[in-house]
Amino acid sequence: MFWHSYKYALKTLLKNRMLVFWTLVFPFLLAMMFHLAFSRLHDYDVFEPFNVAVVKDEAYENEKVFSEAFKSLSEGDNKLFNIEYTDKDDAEKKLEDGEIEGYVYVVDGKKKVKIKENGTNQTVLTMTTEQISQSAKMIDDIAMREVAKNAGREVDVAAIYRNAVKTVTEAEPNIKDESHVMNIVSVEFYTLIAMACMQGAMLSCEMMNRCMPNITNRGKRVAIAPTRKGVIVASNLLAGYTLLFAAVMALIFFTRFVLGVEYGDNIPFICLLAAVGGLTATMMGMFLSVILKTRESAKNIIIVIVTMVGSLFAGMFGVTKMFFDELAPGVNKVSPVGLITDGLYSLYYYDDMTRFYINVISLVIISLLFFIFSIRSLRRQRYDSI
Amino acid sequence: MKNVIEVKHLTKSYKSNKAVDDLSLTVKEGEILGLLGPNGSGKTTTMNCILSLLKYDNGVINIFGKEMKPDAYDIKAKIGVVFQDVAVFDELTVYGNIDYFCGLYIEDKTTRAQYVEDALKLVGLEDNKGQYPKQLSGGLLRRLNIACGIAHKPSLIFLDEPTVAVDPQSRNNILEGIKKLRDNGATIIYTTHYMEEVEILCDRVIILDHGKIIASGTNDELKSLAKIEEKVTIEVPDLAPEKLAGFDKIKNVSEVEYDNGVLKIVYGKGKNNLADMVEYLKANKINYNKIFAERPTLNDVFLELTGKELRD
Amino acid sequence: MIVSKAFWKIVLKNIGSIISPTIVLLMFGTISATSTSSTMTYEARKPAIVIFNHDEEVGMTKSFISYIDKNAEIKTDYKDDDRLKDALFYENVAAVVEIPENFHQDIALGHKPEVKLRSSAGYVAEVAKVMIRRYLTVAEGYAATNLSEQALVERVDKAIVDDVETEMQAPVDTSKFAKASRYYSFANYTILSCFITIICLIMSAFNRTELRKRNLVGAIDIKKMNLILLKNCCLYALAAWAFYVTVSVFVLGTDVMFTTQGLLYAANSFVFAVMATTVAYLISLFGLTAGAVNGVQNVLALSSSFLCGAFVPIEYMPESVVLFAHALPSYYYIDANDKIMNLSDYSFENLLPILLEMAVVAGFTILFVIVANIISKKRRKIA
Repeated sequence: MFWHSYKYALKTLLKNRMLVFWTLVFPFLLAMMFHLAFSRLHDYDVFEPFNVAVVKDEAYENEKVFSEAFKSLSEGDNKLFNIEYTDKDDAEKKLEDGEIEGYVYVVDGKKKVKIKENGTNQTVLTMTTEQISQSAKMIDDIAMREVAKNAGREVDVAAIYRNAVKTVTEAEPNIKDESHVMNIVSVEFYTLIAMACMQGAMLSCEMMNRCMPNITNRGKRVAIAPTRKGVIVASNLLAGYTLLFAAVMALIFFTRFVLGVEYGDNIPFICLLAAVGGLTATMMGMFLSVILKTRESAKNIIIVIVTMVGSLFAGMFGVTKMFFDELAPGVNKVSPVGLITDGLYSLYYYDDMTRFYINVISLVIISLLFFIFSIRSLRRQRYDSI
Repeated sequence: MKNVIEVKHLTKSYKSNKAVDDLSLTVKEGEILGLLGPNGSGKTTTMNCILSLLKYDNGVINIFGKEMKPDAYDIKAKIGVVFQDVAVFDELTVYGNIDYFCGLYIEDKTTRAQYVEDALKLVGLEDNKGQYPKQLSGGLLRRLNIACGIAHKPSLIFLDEPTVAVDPQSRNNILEGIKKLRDNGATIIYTTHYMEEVEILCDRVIILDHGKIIASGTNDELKSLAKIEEKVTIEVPDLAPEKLAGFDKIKNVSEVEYDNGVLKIVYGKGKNNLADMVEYLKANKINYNKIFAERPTLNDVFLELTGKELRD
Repeated sequence: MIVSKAFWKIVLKNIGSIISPTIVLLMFGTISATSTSSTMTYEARKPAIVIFNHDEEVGMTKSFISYIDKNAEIKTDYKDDDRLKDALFYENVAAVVEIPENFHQDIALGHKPEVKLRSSAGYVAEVAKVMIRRYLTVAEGYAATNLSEQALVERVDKAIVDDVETEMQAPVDTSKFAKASRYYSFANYTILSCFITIICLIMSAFNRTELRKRNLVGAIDIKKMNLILLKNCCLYALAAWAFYVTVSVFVLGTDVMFTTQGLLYAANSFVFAVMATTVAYLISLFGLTAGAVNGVQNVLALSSSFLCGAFVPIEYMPESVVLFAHALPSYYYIDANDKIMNLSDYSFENLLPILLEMAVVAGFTILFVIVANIISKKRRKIA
């Protein structure tokens, strides 16, 4: 009986074009869109050298250390800039026309950078110029001091300079970089996985409606059949859950292996989280279907709101989850989308599993609450009106 | 004959509105019982109470001699219900739908396959079994709805207005099918507001109004309540008023009505009334185009009992 | 008249399903557009740095911290816990610097004390790292020349000061209008999804086949009726657009919206709203079910928003995507918003590109109207 009902429930689900679209097509479309939209957001490795101009006049030529260092940055494979030497008017015009990102010039020994507007390349240009200028200044300072120390004596100025350059360029700060740099874009995909899990609410709502004589006529047929309601309900929910779990797994593998989203290496734990998250959504759908006496569309609207607001708070729409965590600390602790997202995030970012388990346990508790409240109402066997 | 269903003092109200009011009835094995009444008279509510779908305020319901409860699965296994609204899955074929609902009763696959074929044959959908409900016409869809309800060969069948908005061909098919079910030994409760169907089909009829039984019995028993033996209708294009008065005095005539060139005469009793009337017309030199006699209908019974028509 | 009446009756009847998505979308739009914490924020800003100092704040340590203070925003409300980790991940904090015990002495002695650094990903973090590295490089460079700590502090403090002057050619303060741009670019999503949902919902009520047949044989000329329906759709769209602009005044403030730029944002969104109305009308002609409309709406609104830069700036998208985006009206609408943000003066020369993009959107409108007419004519024969 159970499997008979399960088999048919699954069959009808797979034939329902709308449900298949939302479960099996839409999340994949979104994933591709995320992939396209975010693919370059954090690509720092691919740094393209950009065009800058240098006003090459007497003042510039005088800054030997500075000009040498600057020149070296436009050579070789790892060059930062494509430098064009020109005069000030031409540089100004090229900047105006957008041919160059900025230009560097020297007035009375003072280095200046001119840019059109703020941007990444502009910051790189400014910071690099500052760095070179600083090093040049340091070399001068150290060398001059050395010369001053040896005042009156015959000194090899060139050698002193060479030494100073050596001192400065070889100064390597002892920084221990413990950064655990992670791709923030991954979170977008985590919210997507969470959102896909929430589709379970739609599925279970639909499946429950089929079993409820006060909602559909098919439910009346179920109610008069000589089969325990629990068996039918369970088989229908399991069918919805099966489809959901398969869809979420497919989405995880698609994003992981096709789109290259990073999840950390805990595939079994990711599956566990998806399973529990899907369960929570399924229970939520059951709860709404059983408790609410409104039209089906009203239930769907509630599910959509819980899902979309949850996704917003979990960081899907560009504003980070952290922002909402500080704004309304409780929401992501009870929103299934927030919990699933945080679970995936903690798996990826944290070495310690505590936070992951807290999320999983919270989801289990929420599922249980939905289950208990639904069952109380579901056990009622006769209806006031149908 | 055994009583299959016994309902005693059933009362069900929606808020202040009493949908079923102290209703008692019995259904005997092998009969087709018609539940007749206008829309809103409590037919469907009574049925849903008997099926334990609805809570009711008062009353006792026994089926097959046992109390009917939501978990009385042994009783439920022997019941088949055809609901008023079509209840099928759009995503399943005709065959799939019947197989699914039949599967809630019959676990054995080979038996079920046979049963589904039988049901298809009964409602005449053998050629449509691969089609989806969306591809079926309204009448065929109704037949599918019936097949889903009775495929498991129940011994007690409830049919709730199965012919509403159905084309004549499908209606005949459905009525024939119901007769076949009865001939195969099933007890049938047939809910409708079409009196013609009840007259053709039912062994016994219960007439409901405002949740109460206002009459019950066989067709003939009920018709005797109408205090009408026969109705004669005559088309008389122009009838002089002085001649109209004469009809009242004819033997057995209880009512005369003349409107728009049509004369309606009601006989309370008597035999050979039509022949007598033809004689009378000839004798009085009244020209007429058409004349025919009718037996009273259940509508007349309903009109007699409630003062209103069964159908508006 | 009777058609219009029926139209608004249907609108009122569906008011629930109209209001709730509108509110959700508005919430999205407002929060997304106005929050500063965003993955999309790419303007130059001072990096936020957290310092854990295990040393006394004297000498070189003091110099180091005051250097960071000058060039970054020191955050003091973080402990070394999950919240800090989250802040690093979400780039609320660019870097965490841990200064070891005896830092000030060790660095002066040339011992190169180990400074621990944790940074977030992203561009601001890179800036922060360069900044810290620079200080330590300078400090250690000088330390190698055998100076007392006192002398070292003096030298380093002097050397570390930036003396490169940065000038901007046409300084435009875009920050004021950045939020407005984001709000109105997000409107791409709001307007498209609201209009498609609602107009399709109402039109499908009129276009149900049985009803269509009745209307076709009815006394009202079908052309006239379509025109009335379209007119009412536009009326609805106008009301929704006006509402959206009104909200923007509240959210962004009068000093942003009651300016020429504000007016341009409103005008640009108006042109786009008209386009969205025709798209919605066009889709409604296909007589889709409510569920199908929901799907189409989501796919269209989300994809155009993602691919044309309503959520993430288009600069970050691969060239092929940008090229494809040119085929969508949303691209021109959003690009115009960005141009409005960067507007430095209101010369015709500067306004022309914005007006041209509005004209492109208007061109799409005309195209959709033509297509809608063709489809409508074909359908009339079938019905």
